[in-house]
Amino acid sequence: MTSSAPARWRFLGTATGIIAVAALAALPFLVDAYMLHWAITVLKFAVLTLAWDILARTGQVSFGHAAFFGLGAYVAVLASSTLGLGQILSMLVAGVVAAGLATCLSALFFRVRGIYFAILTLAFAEVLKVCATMLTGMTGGAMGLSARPLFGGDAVKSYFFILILALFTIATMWLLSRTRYHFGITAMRSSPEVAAAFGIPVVPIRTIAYSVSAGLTGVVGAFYAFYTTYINPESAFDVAISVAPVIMSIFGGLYSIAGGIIGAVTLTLLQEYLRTTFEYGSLIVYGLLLIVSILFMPKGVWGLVSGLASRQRSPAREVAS
Amino acid sequence: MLRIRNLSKSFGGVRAVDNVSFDVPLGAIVALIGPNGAGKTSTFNLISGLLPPDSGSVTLFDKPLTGKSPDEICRAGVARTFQISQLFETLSIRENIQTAALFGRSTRDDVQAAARRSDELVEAFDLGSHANALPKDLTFAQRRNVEIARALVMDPQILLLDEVLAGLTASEIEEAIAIVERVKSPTVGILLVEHQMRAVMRLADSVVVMMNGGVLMQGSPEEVRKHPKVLSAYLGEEIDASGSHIATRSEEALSLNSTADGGGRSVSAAAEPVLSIRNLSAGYGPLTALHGIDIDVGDNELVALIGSNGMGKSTTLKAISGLLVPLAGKVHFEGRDVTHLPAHSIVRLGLGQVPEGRQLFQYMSVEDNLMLGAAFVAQAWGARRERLDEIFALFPRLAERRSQRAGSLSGGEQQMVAIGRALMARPRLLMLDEPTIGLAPIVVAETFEAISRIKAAGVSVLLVEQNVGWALRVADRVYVMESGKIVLAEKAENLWANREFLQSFGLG
Ligand SMILES: Nc1ncnc2c1ncn2[C@@H]1O[C@H](COP(=O)(O)OP(=O)(O)OP(=O)(O)O)[C@@H](O)[C@H]1O
Ligand SMILES: [Mg+2]
Repeated sequence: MTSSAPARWRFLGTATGIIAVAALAALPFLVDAYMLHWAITVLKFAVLTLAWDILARTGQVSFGHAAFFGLGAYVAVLASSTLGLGQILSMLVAGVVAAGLATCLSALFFRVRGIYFAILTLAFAEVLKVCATMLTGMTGGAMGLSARPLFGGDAVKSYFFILILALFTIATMWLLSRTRYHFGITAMRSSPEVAAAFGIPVVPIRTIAYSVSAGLTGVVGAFYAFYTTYINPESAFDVAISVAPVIMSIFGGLYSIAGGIIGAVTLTLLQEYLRTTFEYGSLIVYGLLLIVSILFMPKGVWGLVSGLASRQRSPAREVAS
Repeated sequence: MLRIRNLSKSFGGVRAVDNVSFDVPLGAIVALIGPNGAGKTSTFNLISGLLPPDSGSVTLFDKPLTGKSPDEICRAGVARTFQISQLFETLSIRENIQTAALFGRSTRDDVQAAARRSDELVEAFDLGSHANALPKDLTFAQRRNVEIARALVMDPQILLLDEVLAGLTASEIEEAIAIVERVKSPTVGILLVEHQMRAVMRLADSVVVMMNGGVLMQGSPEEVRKHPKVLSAYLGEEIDASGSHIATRSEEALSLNSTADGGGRSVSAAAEPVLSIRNLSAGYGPLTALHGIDIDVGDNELVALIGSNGMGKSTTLKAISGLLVPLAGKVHFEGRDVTHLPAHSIVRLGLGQVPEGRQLFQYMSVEDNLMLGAAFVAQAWGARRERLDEIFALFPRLAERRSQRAGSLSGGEQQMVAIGRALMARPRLLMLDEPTIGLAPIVVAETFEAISRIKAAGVSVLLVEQNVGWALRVADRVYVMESGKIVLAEKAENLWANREFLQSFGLG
């Protein structure tokens, strides 16, 4: 009885995963251009949210991931226009540069914790925005830069690029969750000092988490630049880019892959639905919905769902023991 | 062998650790004792790399540990427990132990093997029914067992145990001694900080006595217990080779108490008890921890509630003070039904509490913590200055530390603040949950004298205490609790005369 219960859940999970991937692969051939655009946007936010969550799991909350998003956007556009690199290569370079910057920053930023760290990241994103505005020679200043459309404007190819990036992110996080680093990261979140006293290499783990998180965000920023074909400091370093993954994670469920995906999908589509439904005040409705959901689902949608599922499972466990 | 040489550390003006040198050889148990705030835990923090020393060195098999990060030191084979338990609150009990298993010395990334190792320890420490619970749902004693298990699972060469026996009853201490004896092996060196002299006398091969940051002396348990300075500054009274107090003094303390209330001991609770509990039941979620208990505390009476750990004593106090909503039964305080009043209203009526495990406001100063005890109690706020002076007279150590952040105090100093904070409210009835946990023997004696004085000043006291000897000496009446029920209610002097009887409750 009891041995088959987890097996059943695992089977259910695997089956859902396979069906979901198949459906996602078929999607661009089934929907129109407008829907495809929204699918791309959803995936973009899913990667942003999961990437942000990688750092959050270590106990540090960033309010400035727009720094890496914007940096990625500019690096990619400049790499392809001035160095003549291909677009895919440019996006990868953007990711590497963003990750490298995070590695350097971690020595400085991780001296502080909690709200102080959050403010540092927020301020840093603003600094980069100002830099992008001032360095007119390179970035075009407030006028921004334009880029050649991604894959020559082929939306289906763009879709597959961001889909593969999302699957790569999910796979990485899932594999990680099966190693000891998952335990180390969760322990660090309670207390880095105590975690270190139990042999957990806190500083390297935190630095790597920040770099991976920033690198993925940088690639998404680069993707955004080529996909929209135009960037300026306001759009690339938009505070909304920093805030979106925080809200989506909390709404969907912090520290979980499923939670991040649920948050990104639901809130991206909800925002678009409200925007087209209400002529005025769609943001007010959106805000109210968020407030209510956070008050009544403090662990997010996924926390609620998995909580109910485990309650359903627990009687079986009691009978067995 | 762990070698400590000329280790020093200051915090501002306080020399917490001052030129300390000693060795911990493999196969040996070294005890580190000394008054509260002597620098024992700070020494642990310096060894485990949590604090950088100002000067001095620590080496393990001649390889320097100083300058390494805490995780490197841990992987080199040094494991520790924390005096104030520091579990990973977001991980289950099993995962807490498993995490340590995954990162300790010579461990590899084998999550399954680590799970098996931690399950063994979960069983060994009798935590099976809580393996999937979060630390916040455990009792004080269970949390500490997880602390020990988490250090043991790392298979350390040097094991640092910081007051792991605090708050245990006599028979639980015996069990714990047996555990440590089992851990003892030629390949492990154990450094043990402990105020439980019974364990120190039995376990230690060598004892290091610290005082004011420095090493006062090092010697065998025999030498240490006879050293006049150790006697006067730490033990406060003579103990025999088994770590028990020498009986004469105990009789004295008992007579001290009977004179304090004019010899007229109340036979049972007075006609109008200050606190009366009838048929009280309480629990946590599906688990019922209290099964319909009755307790009375008379006017100016000191009532002790004793029993092994996990029997429901703390739950009783929580249910009385409104921190836990009772399932059934009534609590009357000075004739008034307070069963369903919120905790803060009950405090304002004059029912003060020293909760288990201190629960100070870590980021506030000592003085602010104390002031807070009186801040929301109208009758106490006016007299707060005098009260503060009284508390500083009771615990002079706190006067020296008045503007220090409470979270950075030593464990014993924190306990003093917790007692002081409850007294600030000038309660009518004071409930104390293991008030002397982690206090040096001499301070334990002083605290019980203080509690007797508090009672002499007209306050009724309900005391939960693991140290049965002391409980019997200061109390008027005693309730014995077992598995959530009151199994015995008796006058303290009668129980004192028949102490052996208590052994049947595991309290001998
Ligand atoms: N971070 C800190 N800042 C200021 N003072 C500190 C700090 N940490 C410890 N101290 C002080 O250093 C002294 C030694 O503290 P320590 O915790 O080592 O004592 P201890 O011997 O373990 O005492 P106990 O038996 O009460 O646990 C104490 O007086 C304490 O107040
Ligand atoms: Mg200590």
